[in-house]
Amino acid sequence: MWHGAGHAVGAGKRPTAANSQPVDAPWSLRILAAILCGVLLARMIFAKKGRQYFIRRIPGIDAIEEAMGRATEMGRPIIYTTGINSFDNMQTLAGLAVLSWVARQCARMMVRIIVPVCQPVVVSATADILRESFRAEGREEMFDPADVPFLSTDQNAYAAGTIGFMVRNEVAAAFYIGGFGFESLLLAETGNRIGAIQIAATADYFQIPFFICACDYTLIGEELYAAGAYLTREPVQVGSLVGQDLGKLMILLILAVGSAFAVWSQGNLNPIEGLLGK
Amino acid sequence: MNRWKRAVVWSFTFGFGLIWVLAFFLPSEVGGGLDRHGMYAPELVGTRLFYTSGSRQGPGNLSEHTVGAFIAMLDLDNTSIRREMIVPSPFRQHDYYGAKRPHVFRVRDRYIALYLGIGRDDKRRICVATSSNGTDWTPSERPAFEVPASVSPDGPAWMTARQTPGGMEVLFLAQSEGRLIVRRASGPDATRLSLEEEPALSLPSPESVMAVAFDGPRWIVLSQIGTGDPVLWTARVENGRLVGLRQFLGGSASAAREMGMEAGAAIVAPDFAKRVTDVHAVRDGEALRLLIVGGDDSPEADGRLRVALYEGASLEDLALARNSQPDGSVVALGSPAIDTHFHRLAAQASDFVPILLNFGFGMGLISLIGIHGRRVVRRAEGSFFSLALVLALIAMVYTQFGYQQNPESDYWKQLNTLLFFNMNFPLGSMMFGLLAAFLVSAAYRAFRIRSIEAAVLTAMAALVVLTQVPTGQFVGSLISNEAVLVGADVDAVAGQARTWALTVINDAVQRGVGFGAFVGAIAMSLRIWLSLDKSGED
Repeated sequence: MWHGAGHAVGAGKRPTAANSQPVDAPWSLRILAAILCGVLLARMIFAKKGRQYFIRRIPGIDAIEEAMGRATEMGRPIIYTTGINSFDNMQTLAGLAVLSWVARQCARMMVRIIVPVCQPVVVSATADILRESFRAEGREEMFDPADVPFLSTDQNAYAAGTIGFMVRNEVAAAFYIGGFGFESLLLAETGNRIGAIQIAATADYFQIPFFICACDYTLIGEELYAAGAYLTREPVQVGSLVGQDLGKLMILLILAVGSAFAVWSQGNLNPIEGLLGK
Repeated sequence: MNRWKRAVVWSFTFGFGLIWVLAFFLPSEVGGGLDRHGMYAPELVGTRLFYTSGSRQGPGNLSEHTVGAFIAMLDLDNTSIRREMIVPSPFRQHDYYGAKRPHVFRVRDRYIALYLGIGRDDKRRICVATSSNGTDWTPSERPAFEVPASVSPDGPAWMTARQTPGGMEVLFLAQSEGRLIVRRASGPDATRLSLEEEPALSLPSPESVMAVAFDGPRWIVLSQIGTGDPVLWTARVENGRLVGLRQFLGGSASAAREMGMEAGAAIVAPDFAKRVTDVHAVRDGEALRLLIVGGDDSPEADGRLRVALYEGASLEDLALARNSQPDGSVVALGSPAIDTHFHRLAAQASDFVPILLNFGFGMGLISLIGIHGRRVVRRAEGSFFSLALVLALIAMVYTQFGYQQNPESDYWKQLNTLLFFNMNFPLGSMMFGLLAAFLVSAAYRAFRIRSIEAAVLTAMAALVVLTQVPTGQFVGSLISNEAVLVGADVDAVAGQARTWALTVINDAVQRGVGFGAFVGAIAMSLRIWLSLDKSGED
């Protein structure tokens, strides 16, 4: 991505040898990213070698199993959406990571899962994940391609189509895990009206309030990326979760120290100078 | 997945990931990118080039972090002397997010710079900074001029300033209710500007004027006509309209004649200025100095912006001056692109992305036709809708193929217009209309106070709605009228509370969520890159 797009030559055009290079990040950012990656990799390696880590409880993720149990008891399907973005958005990948676990649970509990898709590119990956998950549980016959409908790349049409699926099938549980736009409220409110237990996870700032108000559980920001790893409890994944928390702690420390220096460097805001009356 | 398939997928994922990871971490001499700051809107005073650098970017991913626009200075006699002159400050509200488009003047024994500040509320204001030596600058604590919200809610899109016998004159582009108007403010000095009632110029279409410079009453206009490259032309203003005088640089002779202008470029531009991005003019005594910023976006070019300096007594006899670079420019802006084997590899790797996406698109299409085709064949419930979908798909694909092959044919044009503009667009609008009504009612129903978090959100939403949305302001005024009777200035307190909630709490929370999400995204990227993400396995 070229910064200052309005003024850069070739902005918005096909990348060429001269302008397709990634952004030249400042050294501070490179060092920070390297340390973060180092911490994450170290935790993953330690976890693989057998070190036990405690990971904090995330109620929203724990509730996924509860929601599926409810669907089993009621004998109704569940609906799962990975949002409106394509593979260029990490949130879609996070949604698909959770989907594979949810699909296996569905196969075990014999619950039908409907996954309406907004991007044609995501359709085949989603169908493949469902098929593989059912096959892994020995229930390949449960897979029906019609349960992975591609609705539309248009946000409005996608929202309307998904709402239609929710209402017609009277879903018992709804999972919104990925990147969303304004349709977040439309989906969540519909789920609320039909009495579905709803779990949402997104890193889109502006949709988080809607999900918090209308859903039973909401995973905010990084919890979305942690969900897939949290569900498996596999040592390497648990290690990455611990590394993730350490990374956040590190950023918090940098913020605190940076804020203190910023205040200190402004003479008129320096608390010591203020106290001394200078 | 069998072992071989897994190994192939792993190799591809790791290989492509490695290229981009290296491109991020390695120094630019090996494989990194161009100077991300860029440089634009230059102003020349003596041998000092003042310009805007940096830009604002949303937090898309780690490498697209926010860099506030700032104003820098470069000495053309010694280009190693570069100084960041006015940088955004968290301690100044009016240029909190950025400072751009400098206009520097020498007034008696000191320098004055007028610039556009991007405030904490995202509104642009005309700000002023002063300097005694032209090197060390002190931005003012307050903006010099704030455009009323009724004229332009977001402030000026661009500005240009010049000294006049009466003091100072500023022209800026105001955007209000979808209209673009060039307005004028003038005053005895930069801090005492007042808005003139009459617009200096009404513009016929958006984006038609990108910058202006002056030579006396003549305007030098940089405009984009249609989707073509920007064109420089001279004009005078008659009854609030631009009347083109002469095509100055770029554009075709026929287009100039169509606009009633004298055809034929007035100056010959160096090769790099095929695509002009900015223009500045300054009178220095008898001499007119014109700065043209441009670049060449052809695959052979290095992608850098360059500045050409023209000098002459008038617009008619301008000639390239100080062409210190072999290509005719005075300075090439930004770092040169590094053309290494690694860099070319990264460019080729990026070409794979659209190929893979298009494959995925094709598979999605096949899946769609398969699902709905089966439903039609089996005459399943609702198969009529599936049939409609398949027919619509075929019709649209057929039309687009035909139209792309014969774009001049009336038949294909009409068919494309019928299906795309007369059917697809209205259906999309209708769908949005239906959902919009549902959205409004859903918003009211959704905000139930079911938890402490929901209660806080509802309270905040009520505060913002009552103080910012027109209907809310009306309701708020009714409440405040009652409150005024008991001596409380509810409007002022609520306004401050709203600004505080939006700019302090909201910003802090967004950044907090952003930090967490970035770290989470890095962890997940690492897991995917190293094929460690096995969420579907126990």
